[in-house]
Amino acid sequence: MKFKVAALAGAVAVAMATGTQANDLNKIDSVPSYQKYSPWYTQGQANIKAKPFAALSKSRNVILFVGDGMGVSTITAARILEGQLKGMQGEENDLSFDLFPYTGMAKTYNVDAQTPDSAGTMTAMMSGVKTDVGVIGVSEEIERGDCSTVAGNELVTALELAEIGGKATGIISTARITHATPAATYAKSADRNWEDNSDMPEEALAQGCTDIAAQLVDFEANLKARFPQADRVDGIDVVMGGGRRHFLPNDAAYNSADAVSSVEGDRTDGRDLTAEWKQAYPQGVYVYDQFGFDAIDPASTSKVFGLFNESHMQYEADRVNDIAGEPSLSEMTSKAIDVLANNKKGYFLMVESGRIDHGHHAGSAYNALTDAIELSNAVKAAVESVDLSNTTIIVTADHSHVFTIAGYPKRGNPILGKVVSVGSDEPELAADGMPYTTVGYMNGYGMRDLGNETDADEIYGYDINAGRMDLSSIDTEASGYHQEALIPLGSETHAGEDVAIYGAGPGAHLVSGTNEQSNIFHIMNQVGKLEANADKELSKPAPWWRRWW
Amino acid sequence: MNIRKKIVAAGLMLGIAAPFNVSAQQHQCATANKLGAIYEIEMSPEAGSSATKPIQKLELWRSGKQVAIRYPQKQITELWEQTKNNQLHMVRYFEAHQRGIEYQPIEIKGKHDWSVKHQLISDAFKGRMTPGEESGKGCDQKQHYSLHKEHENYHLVWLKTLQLPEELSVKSQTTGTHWTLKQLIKDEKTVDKAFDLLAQYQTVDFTDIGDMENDPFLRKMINLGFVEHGHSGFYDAEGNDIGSHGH
Repeated sequence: MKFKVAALAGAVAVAMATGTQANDLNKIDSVPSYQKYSPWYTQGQANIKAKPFAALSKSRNVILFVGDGMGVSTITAARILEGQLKGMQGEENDLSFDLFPYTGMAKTYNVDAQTPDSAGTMTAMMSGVKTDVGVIGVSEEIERGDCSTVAGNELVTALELAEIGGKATGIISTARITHATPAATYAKSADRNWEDNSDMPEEALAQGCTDIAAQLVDFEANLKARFPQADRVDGIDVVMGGGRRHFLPNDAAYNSADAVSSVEGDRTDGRDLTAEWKQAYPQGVYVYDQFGFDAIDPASTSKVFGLFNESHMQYEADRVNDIAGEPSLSEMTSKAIDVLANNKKGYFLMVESGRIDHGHHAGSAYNALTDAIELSNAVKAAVESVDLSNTTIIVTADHSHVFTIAGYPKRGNPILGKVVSVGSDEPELAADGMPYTTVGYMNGYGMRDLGNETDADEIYGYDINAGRMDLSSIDTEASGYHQEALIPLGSETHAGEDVAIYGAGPGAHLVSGTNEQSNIFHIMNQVGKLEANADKELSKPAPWWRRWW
Repeated sequence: MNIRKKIVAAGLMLGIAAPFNVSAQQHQCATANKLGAIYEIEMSPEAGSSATKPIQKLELWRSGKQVAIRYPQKQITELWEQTKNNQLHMVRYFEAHQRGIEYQPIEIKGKHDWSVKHQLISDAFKGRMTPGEESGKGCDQKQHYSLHKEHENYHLVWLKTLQLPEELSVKSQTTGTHWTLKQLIKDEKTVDKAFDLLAQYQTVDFTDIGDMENDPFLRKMINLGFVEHGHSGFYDAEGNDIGSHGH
């Protein structure tokens, strides 16, 4: 009797401490009530459960691929470019995920923004709750940049539920691993820009908010603190991306071999988070270049922390120019799956192609499309590595870009070329007497011919050059060509139209229809039984020895 | 430190501190790897105009593989760094905003010639000039150079030890520009402080600006463009950079 009273008191205390709701004496919810009863969450869950055979959809592993900024026009153009690079006319080509059996659409708006950003959209995909632009892993009740509004508004993510439920977990990005999309899988932050402590206001630090990089390395401890009953939490198993600067002290002594700055690290609190990670996971492998990556043996490795660049990883087309070498997205995906597959309870993996977005922002279709093609390669690698009878793969984008495919080019016309009409061999001329390209941007930096340059960011050394230009003597198919833009802006912008969702594996049909973007969480939750398994773990009676002590 | 204090400190460190007269450097050689150099640029009125142009200033700060070019009138400093694989990394700091925009490494070519950043005039251009009189001794050695090109006459006084111009003039029939080294700062602590101050500014990757629309500073940059591009090397009377390979 004494023991039962103690257990009850303990359960109530834990429920109060974690903000979760105890529906009965033994049940502890992994999802806090303010999230679980949010209209985004309840309606999204209801929508997914109402789809045919939803209850029967069950998957051991879940992989979410996110092409940052990979709108529908980007997919179409990448498909054509890949086909043409293979010697085809192009239009008839299929990217790997074009062959997935199910397709749907996602409405991408943020709660406070018609055209969204990656922080709000990825938070929606990872938590089932839409939120404001610019915030990470917190609900719309937050005020951006105000640390004091974070507490009580943290959203539990699919990755956290998978951890609590005992699955292996992994995140991969070609952007900084602290960038908005990967951060939304593991961090809670009032501002997406708080990537390390030096990025944060003094007030936020004084109020106890921590930076995103620290949250990644302290993920296991933080999750255990929020869910003391979560016995199976053992930290994120695979982390690979860029962003080393946010993990190292602002001291040249900590520079890596491929540092591009004299002082690589930005941290001003003296913490070397890579060393802390190695101390926390002595069985793990920390790598920062291609050589270290290649040396990882997935069969004998349970934890991987790869930070391959000081900032974002290279564009795929420019990867060969990296100082110490970087793995490709498809290489990282294959390696991650091989490591995560060691877990018998399955895994959750998020893979982001982060630089499609950056290529577009720089007005470079070439860089955006070649990175989108590499995302397709990564999806292909995943499909070839997994058993689709027990693994669900979803491919989508967080938002689109103002990138268009226009004019009336003939079949097989080079997608990066000038418009050549049906029956003609010469470029079509516009009303201003000048040729024009098939792909272009509504806004941005504008046209620039940088020859065979493969780094889109090179454009930022030049002045804005928007509007119509005479392209007669310019090779618009060259890697360094930046497309024309109508409205002059210092950076091309996101767009607000829906993005596509592709699904394969158990429950993949649930992507069908036009969804709120937050429904993607509910699809993963439904097929992976993420919340159910997490609840079950949390509600398990404690072992006898713990009850006695 | 609040923003106001920082601005005052910046002025002290970058503009005023330790103004050594060039002629005072007789006693010991300043190292070419760590110094500050403050130039004045006078441009003569164009033909037919009596309006005098204000004297411009430009500061060059060197510390190893880092060079900071400061444009006091614009309150902008460009920090250039030569990376291990001979690329250039640049951060553009905006003093009024206490912020910086960081650019990914770029290849050394064209106007991004490292020698232009390091010594304000490219090795290639200097190589095309005709060496003339030598003067001074030891670490105060100077070499005169001249070049006549397309109706313009160039004259350079080169400080051989410091690898810096002491003077450069460009004259045509109608206009003229004259650069003069006014102050040389060789106190290493002063130079270090100038670089340390820049390191305190919050920076953002240029690549990320498209995703940071809510930041008022970056919104201004997105809407208006980033900055009128400053000249980090000598320019002629028409404003063309003469320090790069294109001339």
